[in-house]
Amino acid sequence: MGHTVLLVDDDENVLLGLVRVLRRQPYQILTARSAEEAQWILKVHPVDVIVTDEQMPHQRGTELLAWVAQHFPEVMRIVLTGHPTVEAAISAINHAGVFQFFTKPCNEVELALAIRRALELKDQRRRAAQAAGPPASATAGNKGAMP
Amino acid sequence: MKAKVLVVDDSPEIAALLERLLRAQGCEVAVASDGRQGLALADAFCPDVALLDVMMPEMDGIELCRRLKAEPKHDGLYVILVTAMSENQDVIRGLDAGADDYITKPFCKEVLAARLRSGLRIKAHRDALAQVNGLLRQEIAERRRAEAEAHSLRRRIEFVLEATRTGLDVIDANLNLCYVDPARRKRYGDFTGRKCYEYFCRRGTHCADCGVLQALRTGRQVVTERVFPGEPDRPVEVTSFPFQEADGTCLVAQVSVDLSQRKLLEAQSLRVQRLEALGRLAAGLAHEINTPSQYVSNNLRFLQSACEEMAAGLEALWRLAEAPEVQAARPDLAQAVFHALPPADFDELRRDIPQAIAEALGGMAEVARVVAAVQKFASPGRAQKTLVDLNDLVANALEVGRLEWRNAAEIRAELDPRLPPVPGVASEMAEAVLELVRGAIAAGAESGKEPGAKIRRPVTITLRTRTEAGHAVIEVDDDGPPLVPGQRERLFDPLVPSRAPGGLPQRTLAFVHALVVQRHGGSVDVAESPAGGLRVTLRVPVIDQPVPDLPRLETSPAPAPGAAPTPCA
Repeated sequence: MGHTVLLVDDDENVLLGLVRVLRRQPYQILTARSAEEAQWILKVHPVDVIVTDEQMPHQRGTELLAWVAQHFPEVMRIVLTGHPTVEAAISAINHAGVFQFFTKPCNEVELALAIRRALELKDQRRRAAQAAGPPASATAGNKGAMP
Repeated sequence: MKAKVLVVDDSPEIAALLERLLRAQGCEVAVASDGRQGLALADAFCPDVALLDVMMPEMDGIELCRRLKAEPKHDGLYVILVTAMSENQDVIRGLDAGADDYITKPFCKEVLAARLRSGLRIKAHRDALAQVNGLLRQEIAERRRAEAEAHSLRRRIEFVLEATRTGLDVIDANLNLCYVDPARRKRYGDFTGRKCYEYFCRRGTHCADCGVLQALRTGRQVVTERVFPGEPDRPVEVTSFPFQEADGTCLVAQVSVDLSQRKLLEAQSLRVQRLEALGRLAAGLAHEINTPSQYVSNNLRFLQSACEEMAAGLEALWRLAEAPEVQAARPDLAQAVFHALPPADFDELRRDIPQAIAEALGGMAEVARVVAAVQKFASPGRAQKTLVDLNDLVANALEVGRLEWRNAAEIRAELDPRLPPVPGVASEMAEAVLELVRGAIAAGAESGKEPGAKIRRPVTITLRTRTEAGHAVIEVDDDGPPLVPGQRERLFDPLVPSRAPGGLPQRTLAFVHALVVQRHGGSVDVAESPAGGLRVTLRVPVIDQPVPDLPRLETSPAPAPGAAPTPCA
């Protein structure tokens, strides 16, 4: 089955640019203009990797990722920020368990590579979980939701 | 005051006779009957004149004379020997022993009286002389002490002058030099008898804006800035203070302060201010630039690949239009293709579009580099200082950077195990070390590249730590290219073009400088490395500074120990 990557940024130009450079990548790309929109998409559509901006109105990227870590822990999380601060990086690692932290402008090849590694890691984890037998009751709900 | 005369004679009759005669002359008389008694009595009595009989048992008069003369207490004592008429030998021995005069027995009392008067006159002269001598000695001793004090004070002042690179000279109203500090004495030579304008300014007459004359005329201190021909690279600020000596002589003291230091400091503080302003600006600007950079770059990349695809499509279309079948069947369509895309234009576009995009991408990379460089100064550095082990730090920094430069550099570490910890912010110190290694790699990689070849020569970088009087030192050596002219001057500039005049990457130590000097009170020095490239030395003060070796003042020569005898008053 195909993978889905969700890009979140309050700047539409960034989203369009990323979609253009990643257009040949073997996954479906969804975009969200805000953390709220991203949360709504996550609830209605399976997502494998989320790439989010840090500084957004209403809710910051790391806050969104903390929420994702809580509600959709299997979604791999990547930060792409235009204003890298040590605090943001620490918070991203401590609270949101991010897979990778990028600063703008980032090379699209590196970003594409990171997304692929995230997808591979996610697939490995899923296979390992399947091989380990029936899933624990705590993750049963999530598993059930997946096709 | 009565003259005091000591009579020593073993014959009581003669002694009595002499005593009577002397008292008749108005003298105070003391009589002793032998040498030993005479010696003791002389000590107590302090006579002006002594009449000593030569022929006495035990200690004779000559021996007594010798002993009295040897005694500093009896300095100036006038000794008259009393001897028998026939004993010329006694007279000779007596005079050699220090006696002043002699009289032979039997004596005429008038002659005795006359000789006594002569003796007393001489004694009075001697006393006066001794008194003047004593005063002179005292004065000399005082002068010596004062001189030693003045010398020691002068040494101290001159030490301070040298240590602070301050010049001091004193000039009189006729512009004659009265004093010049030692550093400039060494440089300009002896100043005695020379005019200030010929000594310092190498002129035949005084300067139009002479500070000395102005100070004397106005009675106020005058400040001038000067560059003396003997020290062209050392501008000085000269303050001329007029003053008057106790005797009314008008003099001007001039203090010269080295301005090159101050100018350097001003330049440095300007640099710091520039960096701070840049930091504030960067913090606000970075985000605003980074976001559009992201999508401009992305879109350019997209255009790059899209254009390639489109070019392939257009070329196929063109081939199709060229095919004889198409030309025969639909010449209008073929013509439309050739009209819309003439062959010359197509070739030009196919060449220029990718090039234009590549150039635009290069420009975006440059923007990203500048923003990143500027952004480094934005971090206000709120981190708390802790005690940092620089050896650990260097090892960790190398570990962190290992992946980044595994093919580009060969890195060696020579760490001093006794390096003391330094107070600092570990992350900032590590950043400084990483920055130095990255700089060395960037410079070396470019120079090692053969034209056209893709293999780069790895740079060899040596990181050393060591201890140095109160500082922990990190030294980074590389075997990359040496600095080209023009590069060194800009090493500490915060914003520099990415290329130096020779086409090599411009290295910059501005960020390292900010981290080490401004944040840690250390220093950054640059020299040529024995390995061929650059040697950058970072010094960070350690917390427990041992007492440094203080410069020692020469000990002033002590006044000569003139043991001035105190003469009998």
